[in-house]
Amino acid sequence: MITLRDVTKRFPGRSLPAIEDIDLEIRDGELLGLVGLNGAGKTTTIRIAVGLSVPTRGSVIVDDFDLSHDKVRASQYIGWAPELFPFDPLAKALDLLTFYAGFSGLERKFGRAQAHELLARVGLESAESQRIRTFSLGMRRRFAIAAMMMGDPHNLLMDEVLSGLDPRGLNFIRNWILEQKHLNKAILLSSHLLSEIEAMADRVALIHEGNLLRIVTRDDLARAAAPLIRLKIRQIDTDGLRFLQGLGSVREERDTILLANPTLALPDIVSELVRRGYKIDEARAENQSLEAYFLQAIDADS
Amino acid sequence: MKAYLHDLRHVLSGRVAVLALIIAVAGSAFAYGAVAGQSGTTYVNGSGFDYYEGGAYHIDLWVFGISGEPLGGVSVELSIGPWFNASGGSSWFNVSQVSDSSGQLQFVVPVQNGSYSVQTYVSYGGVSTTALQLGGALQGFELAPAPGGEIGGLDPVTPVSANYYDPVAKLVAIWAGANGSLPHGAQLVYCSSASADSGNPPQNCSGFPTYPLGVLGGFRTIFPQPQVANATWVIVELTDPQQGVVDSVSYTGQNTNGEPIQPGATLVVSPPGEFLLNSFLLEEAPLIALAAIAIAYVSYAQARLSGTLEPVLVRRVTRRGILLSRYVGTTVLVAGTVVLDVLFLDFAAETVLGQPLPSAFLIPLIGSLLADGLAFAGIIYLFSHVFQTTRAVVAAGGAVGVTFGVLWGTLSSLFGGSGTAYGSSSVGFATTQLRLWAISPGQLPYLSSGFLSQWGTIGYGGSQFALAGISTGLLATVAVLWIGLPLLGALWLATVRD
Repeated sequence: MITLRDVTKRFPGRSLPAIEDIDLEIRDGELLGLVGLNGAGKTTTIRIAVGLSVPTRGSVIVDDFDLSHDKVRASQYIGWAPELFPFDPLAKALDLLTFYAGFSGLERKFGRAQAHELLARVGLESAESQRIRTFSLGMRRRFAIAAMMMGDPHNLLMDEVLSGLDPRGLNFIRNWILEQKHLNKAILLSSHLLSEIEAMADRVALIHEGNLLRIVTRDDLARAAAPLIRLKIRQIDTDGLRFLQGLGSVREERDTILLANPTLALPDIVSELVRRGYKIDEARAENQSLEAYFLQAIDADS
Repeated sequence: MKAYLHDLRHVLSGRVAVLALIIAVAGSAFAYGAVAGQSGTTYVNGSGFDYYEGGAYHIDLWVFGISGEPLGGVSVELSIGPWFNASGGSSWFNVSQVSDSSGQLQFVVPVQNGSYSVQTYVSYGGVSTTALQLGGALQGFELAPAPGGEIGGLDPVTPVSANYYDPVAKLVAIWAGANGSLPHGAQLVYCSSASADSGNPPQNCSGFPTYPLGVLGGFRTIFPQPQVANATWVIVELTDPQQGVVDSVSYTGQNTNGEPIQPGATLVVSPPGEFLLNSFLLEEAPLIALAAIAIAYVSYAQARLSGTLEPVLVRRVTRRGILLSRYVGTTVLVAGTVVLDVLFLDFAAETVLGQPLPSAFLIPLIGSLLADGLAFAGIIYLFSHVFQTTRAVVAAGGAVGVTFGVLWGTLSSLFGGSGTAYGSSSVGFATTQLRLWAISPGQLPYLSSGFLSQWGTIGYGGSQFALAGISTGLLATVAVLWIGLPLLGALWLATVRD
């Protein structure tokens, strides 16, 4: 389990903190999703949680060890898969993993065996003699997973590891993450693929402009899934839009109007629009996604 | 601790170790070059005179060896120019000759009377210009306008100035009189000055009593260098009954121009000493400074700023611990490079010159070179925590390395000022110079060498160190500050900046 308490990070020369007073708990056997816009502070939060960045204020507790004061012991329970690919491009996969194994106290022979096994588990056994720079994006993501798993850490923090993957790669890593969750590991996963987070996460932390907006569970999401009405209206004018804005939160997507949390039922809305002389091509009600929920939360915060 | 030893092993067995080995080989080449330069077998000096007659410059040269002995079979090509030819373009005129058994070469260059630059290309015994140690006129000279009956730009009297190997310092006078005629009654006289101004020799013997040194017996005459006790300067003048003083040379009176030679010694080459150290350090000290920068950059700064250190830092280590393990790795590699080069210098000296370096030289030499390197390595470690990009670290580290590690000797003379250098007090100049040098870690090896060999170049027998207030303790303090402060800064930033 990893606990972040009142974590704040200010970078020199910047007036606003990158993150401020973040309180997070990543529990054993839980997958916590971390979502936010670009620059919201997700990566900073993760870098502090794995000990790469020093918080300006606050603390990080990893399985009872304070990362600031006892990093060596705390770090043995941490695995990190970064968004970017910070691995020596000239190194060979097996050699680099064997090097990392040395930090887990493994003798070289055993470290090499474990590196070999991990590469096989992520499907890179045939590439273990290849230099890292020759890896495709999917191979790099798999290698990052293997590097994270060296030493079999209990807490896994992954930053955008699902981005840019083809369907096969996405499926592999998704299944692998769920497998780790079932092994009672504490997992933090940040991603812009909100549908994936929605599908996998037990809880989701919404972060915006360095602040933790809220943490929602799957139940919260289901409860908050207020209906969303999708309308395609020919030649809608400002009067029509004003009418819809009086019924709920309106957002336009190309030729479609999305009406969230409407105060009238769909048939009543359609009737009123027709009465006002608008021609409707399509009207349907659906539940709000995490994406809509997230955008709504940001709007409310703004 | 095991994790840090693991990281240290990784550094010592990685690419950066190969880099250090390459640098060590380059340093060994410098060491061999320094020894070969002192071996005496490839030293060719030259002197002569020129005059203009019959529409051509007549250039008479004598080439001689380390002890003033004539050298036959020396091929000398003169490349003279530029001047404008009939078609209006500039071109060079080339003439070449091989010296006869008396070392004489006589060139006739059919060009207009004027000013020319003369480049020389010398080969001797199958060794080309670049491998020879050339002296005097063979380093190139100028041809000045020479009215008929007068000599031109070449100096006819030359001390055998780099004569480190001869028990008796000499003067070589080469003079054929006006228009190449044999001199009649031309002689050398000398005088001395006890002026305290050791940086500013008198222009001539005017006002000083003169003493005859000898009469020229032919085109080429060798005289012993007169040594005058308690004299600051000795001035030697070539006089001609018809032309008065034709040429003069001066040298410091307190020491000969060569390395002190034991009385009665019959050395062909001098033992390894100041000359060898200075020749070696001229290339080795900047090499080690830049090498340490490169090693520190590859082993830490590049990894840190490119992010490849991060997968290490998330493991069971601390940032300070990894910084220190990498720094230890850098230290070991720089030290290994220095030790290999110094040992090779010692080996080459014993093999080529017949004597190893004095054993007392080894530790100070290695220590000062290591301090030189580690100072700059620490700066790279510090800069990697100050700047955000590898380019910025390379630019800033390179600027500091080039300034303090390579060019400081030259730059410091700008601060001292040429007016100081040749002004009323050369003592003041040398003091300023030494203090400025002591600022820079790149100069520590030279200063250590000065202490070791009782420096004659700037320290005037070593006394200048005391006048400037420079001691080995001060140099050690400078080294500790240069090494310690950047490292402490990096360690501090490593825990608060990231």
